[in-house]
Amino acid sequence: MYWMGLVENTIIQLLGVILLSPLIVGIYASLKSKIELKKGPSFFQPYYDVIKLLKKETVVSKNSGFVFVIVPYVVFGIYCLIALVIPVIISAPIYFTATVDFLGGALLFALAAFLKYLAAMDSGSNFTTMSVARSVSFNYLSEATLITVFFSVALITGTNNPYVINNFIITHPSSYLDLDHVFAIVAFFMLFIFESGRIPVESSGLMELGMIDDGLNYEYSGKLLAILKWGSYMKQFLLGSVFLNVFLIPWGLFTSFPGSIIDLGIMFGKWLILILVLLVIETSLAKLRLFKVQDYLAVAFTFSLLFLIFSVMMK
Amino acid sequence: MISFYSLVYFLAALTMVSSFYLQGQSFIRPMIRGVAVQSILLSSIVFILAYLYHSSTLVILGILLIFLRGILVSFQLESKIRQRSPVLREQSKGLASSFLVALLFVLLGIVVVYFDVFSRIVGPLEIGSSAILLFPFALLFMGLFLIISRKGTFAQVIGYVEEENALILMAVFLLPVPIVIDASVILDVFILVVISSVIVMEKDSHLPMEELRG
Amino acid sequence: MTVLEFLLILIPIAANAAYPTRFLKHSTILAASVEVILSLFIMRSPQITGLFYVTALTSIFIVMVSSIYLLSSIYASKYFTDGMSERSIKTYYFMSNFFVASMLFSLVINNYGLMWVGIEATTVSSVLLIMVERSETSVEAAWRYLIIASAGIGLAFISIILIYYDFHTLTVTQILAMPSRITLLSHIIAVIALVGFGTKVGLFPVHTWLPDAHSESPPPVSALFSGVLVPTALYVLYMVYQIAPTMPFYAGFAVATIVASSVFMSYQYRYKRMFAYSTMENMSMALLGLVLGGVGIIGASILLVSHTFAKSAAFYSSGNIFLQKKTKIIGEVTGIWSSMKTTSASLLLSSLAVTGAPPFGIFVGEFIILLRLASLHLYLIFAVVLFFLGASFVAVNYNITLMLFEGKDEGKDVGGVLRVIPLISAIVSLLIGIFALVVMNYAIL
Repeated sequence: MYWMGLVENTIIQLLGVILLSPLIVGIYASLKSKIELKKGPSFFQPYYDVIKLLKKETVVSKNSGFVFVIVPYVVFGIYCLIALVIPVIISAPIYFTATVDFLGGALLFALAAFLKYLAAMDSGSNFTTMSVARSVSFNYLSEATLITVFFSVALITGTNNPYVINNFIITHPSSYLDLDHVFAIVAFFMLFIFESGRIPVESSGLMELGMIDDGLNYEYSGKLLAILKWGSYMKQFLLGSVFLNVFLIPWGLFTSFPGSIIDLGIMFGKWLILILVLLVIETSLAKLRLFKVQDYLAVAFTFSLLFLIFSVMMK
Repeated sequence: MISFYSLVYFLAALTMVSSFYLQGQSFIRPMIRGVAVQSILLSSIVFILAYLYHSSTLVILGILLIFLRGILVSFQLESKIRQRSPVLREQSKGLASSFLVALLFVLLGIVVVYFDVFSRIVGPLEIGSSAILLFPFALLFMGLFLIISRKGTFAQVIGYVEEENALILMAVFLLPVPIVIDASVILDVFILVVISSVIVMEKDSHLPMEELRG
Repeated sequence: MTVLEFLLILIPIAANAAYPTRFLKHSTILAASVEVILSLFIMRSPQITGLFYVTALTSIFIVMVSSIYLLSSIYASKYFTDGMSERSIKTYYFMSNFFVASMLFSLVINNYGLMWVGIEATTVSSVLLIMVERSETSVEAAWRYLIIASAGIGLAFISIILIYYDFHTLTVTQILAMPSRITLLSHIIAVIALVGFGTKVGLFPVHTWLPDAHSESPPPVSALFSGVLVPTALYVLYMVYQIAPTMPFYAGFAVATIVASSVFMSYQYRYKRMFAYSTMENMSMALLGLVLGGVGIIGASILLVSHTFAKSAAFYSSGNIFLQKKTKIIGEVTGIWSSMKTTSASLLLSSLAVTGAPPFGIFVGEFIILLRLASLHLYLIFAVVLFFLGASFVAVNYNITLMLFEGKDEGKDVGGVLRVIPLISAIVSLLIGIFALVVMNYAIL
């Protein structure tokens, strides 16, 4: 019976990530428009977008090579793999958990980003190459932050397994307010905002001058674009879920099989809280100038490093 | 239940955060407010410790800190800004790099001073492990770095006040020195800030000069 | 008699009561004269009491402070005349009184914490003195002095905290009476104090404020700085050193400063700056003497007293030259021997004195310190110090002879008092040297 639960948990988590992630983005976009007193798209708009793009013709430039074509699939696969190894929806280990630890998860994110850069450069377009340059010149700080945060989480709990960390905070609620944990929350949240392209860093939309991550997809069309878009929804969802389940609100998840379907609902509720927070930030702050993005990331990195120092010191 | 000790740790960490804020801020007025907030954080640490140790001298120290550091110093500095609007903002050379260099500076300082020296000579403190001394040390190096990295008179004064805050923090964590000494230290710093505001009137930034070379 | 020390600190402050009237100048000079007499009294009977800690060494420092206080006040009364507002002149006297009082306070007090406070107070009270003329460079120099010296003194406060942590008292006499005071902690205290108070003494890596402040402040202030402020900081540093004699560090810094200042001196083209570096050299020589102990302490005391008068004379004469020639650059002053006889004489005497030419006191002091080095078998340090002392002797005196004897100059010397004060000061330094030599002769015979 143990095996049964495991397989079903695995399936629920994977499908949950793949299917829920566009919904979260849709709700966010819709609510944002409503706050701005616009009518706004439907909650399900991202699904419609993906379906529409899947139907369209795919155009590939003559100058681009095979990397350009296969990378969207590989990236999608990588995000699916990440969905299997970190506690996104279910806080008990599932089938693939033993594959990698937290650091491995971070490296997988980095791998996906790296492949996207390769593909963007392979397209041979000036604009996407410029986006790569931009993205890379910020990512040296964001990746460092991500890895530092994971290191220090590992130092707190003595392991790099995200499930153990999740469990550690559930069983030691007092450590939730510990210095290192507070700093980790701040750093990871700032990182999450950067990675998902929200307002203080990047304004989503068609403003080419401010684009960081969206610019990478500029040469894609049709099916490939649909898959890439879906992948980036998943990336947001994964990072946000890690933030919610490991750092911000680690409580409230069931671990056994029948409960894990309810977990989907709970997860959805947690996400609504996060969406509200993000909306407040997005509507009350102005976008930073492009060169200030580094400063923003430097702050996040500083916090994460301080967090690392303190978690070493205070042991 | 959150104990008072962890509250002290938390406030000490907030003073660290405020020091990074000061390092990153290029507008003068928020910097002055920031250092006032830092002094008030410091005095709240002193008050909590006064409660824990049942020490009345620490209460006096806390009150002095609030009045002289928190209120009078910032009023004194702010009154000079009103007369000189061009000094409101200082040109910054990029926050990211200055943050990273500051971090490196602080880390080096901590590693050398604390791990090589202090952890050997200082036993457990009343407040817990002597690792809490890292906060004052980090603050000290942040203050020194602020002085080194900025050209403006205001920013350098603020760096100096930050350094003195770090010293008070170190003193209250390690073993509070007699109140007479502490009070004169605080008073000295206050007068120094007043004197430096005279210099602010004359000269608001400091670049290398030919006459003062070599 | 604690009263004497109390009076010593209070009289300069009391002189400021005349601030609203136009007699501040006179009251300051009067107070300074009383201080000199008082300090001679204290020298006759040095003592240790509960509140104050005055040894024979301290009393020498007290005499130095009060004499330069007197000389500078008289000199300033004639120097600050044309082109200075009444208010700036009053600021000078007002702050210099506090300045002297805070120096005397840090010398006599029997408490490390209050010594620190006194040293910090000297910074506070002397910043405005540097920029009393309000030129742009002097404001910049004052600013550097303020921020560097007080940041350094801030570091010294760590050592005060640690002293209290270690001994649970700050009283000098109690701590120095403890038999088992030398531990790892107290060694670290001494080293931190070396960096902290060393800023004020002008030790090599943290000396940068010193040449700026000395060269840009008006001559009476330069004399106070070089002649007594820096030695006062040295005295406090020495008091902390006595807790745990950490000789390698202290001697190392002293030697490094001698080497560095000698190198700096060799390429200076501004005469006041050159003398400022010479101050650094003399101070580190005195520090070396103090930390070597034994007969070195006697050497250091002779050096310090003599240096106080000689260096003040050098700065006063530089001030006279600046008054007439309006330049601080060595190359632009030529042949003043023919036009400014008295000033030239005092400049020559004082530059010979500060570089350690034979009959002067600094020579005697340095000679004794070098002897002490040799008797401790520190031959390498001996050779290095001797070489760089020689190098700076050549550098300073070459430049001074250029200023004095190269070419001809038309012009007049400055007025009576301005001429006499540096000469008196230089001759006192000479007399100290001769006196010391005579005493040494008797002691040896």
